[in-house]
Amino acid sequence: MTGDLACILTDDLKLPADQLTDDASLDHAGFDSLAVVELSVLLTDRYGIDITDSDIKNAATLGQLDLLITSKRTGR
Amino acid sequence: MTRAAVVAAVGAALPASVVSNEDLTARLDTTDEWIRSRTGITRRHVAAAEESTADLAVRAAAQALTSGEPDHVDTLVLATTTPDRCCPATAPAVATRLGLTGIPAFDLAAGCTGFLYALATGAGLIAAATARTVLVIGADRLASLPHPHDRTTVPLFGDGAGALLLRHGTAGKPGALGPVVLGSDGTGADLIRADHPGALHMDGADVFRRAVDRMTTASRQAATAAGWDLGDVDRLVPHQANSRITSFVARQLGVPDGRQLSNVAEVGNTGAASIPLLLARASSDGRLKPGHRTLLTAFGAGLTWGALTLTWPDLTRTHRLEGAPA
Repeated sequence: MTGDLACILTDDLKLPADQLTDDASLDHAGFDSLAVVELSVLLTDRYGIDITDSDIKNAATLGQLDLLITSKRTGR
Repeated sequence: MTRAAVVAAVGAALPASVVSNEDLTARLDTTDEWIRSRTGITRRHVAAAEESTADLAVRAAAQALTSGEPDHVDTLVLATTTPDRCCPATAPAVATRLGLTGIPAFDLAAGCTGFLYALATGAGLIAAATARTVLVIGADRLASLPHPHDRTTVPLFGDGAGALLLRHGTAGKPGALGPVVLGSDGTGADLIRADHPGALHMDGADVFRRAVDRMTTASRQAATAAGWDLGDVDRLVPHQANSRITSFVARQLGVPDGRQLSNVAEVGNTGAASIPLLLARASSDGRLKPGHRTLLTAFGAGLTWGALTLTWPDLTRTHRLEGAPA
């Protein structure tokens, strides 16, 4: 996982750092429905990328979510 | 000297009955942990069946009048989403019960932003020299709006009332209301709606997104209009909808946790009563002190939003209001 996503999850969403591994599911990492919206808003504000709540919920793991964010940021 | 509305007194009223999260788990498929982690709420006050919006409004207003000791009150504005009847408005009955029969008294509905709309209205009447003293009340019985079995909305709401007494004064002085930022967006009218009590619908995710955006933007605009940097803000007083929303707004504004006032844990979302209830509570327990540069912001059904600034005044001195013409 990149440092940027890890920082958002621990500093902004206050998720427990010891659960944040690449193969953790979002549920396992402590995401609830509001955390999905919070992350979507933060990604738009900080990086100007549009990732919907559904995009986030459909990521099977934090590693997949990280790849999705990286690909959006690099425009690939 | 520019004429402005100045806060002269504050009052609050909560129903005696308290409903805890544990009480709710006995009748809803929910848990204390679920409610606290998503809302920050641990309990709320709920009015008895015979306890009306007017009853709560009168109690809060009477407290403000007792401490403010005005010689007269020119106008009463009552912000509420839950008037006691469709017709007539609740405000005239409240005025009469306060011994104010004859003055202009009217209801104002702007959802959970209602109190800021009412403050703006009172401030405008004072600035225009139409009134010298305005009693602004926010009172709601929002606990009656959700369907009794809706586990996602029942835990959110409580009942209560708060009031501020505004008197004429000078812009820029302690207690003077700064420039007001207000807005609305009817394209979101269906996101928070109740066709009748017991039928509340709320789209939590979209409301969260829009509330954060609007409160953050309005707060920045109100601070700029007052000539403040956000770093100058000593106390952020956001509408107490949900601690996740208010904390998010505070972070977006760069306001540290210690400068954000909150009482949502004890009262839940009390609608138009939310901001004056929090001001009353924080000024009495010392979290809000004279001289604190204070930023108020709200978001609610409509959609509506708003923000304004003031430097919190010293309300411990008696503010006897002069009877001389404005």
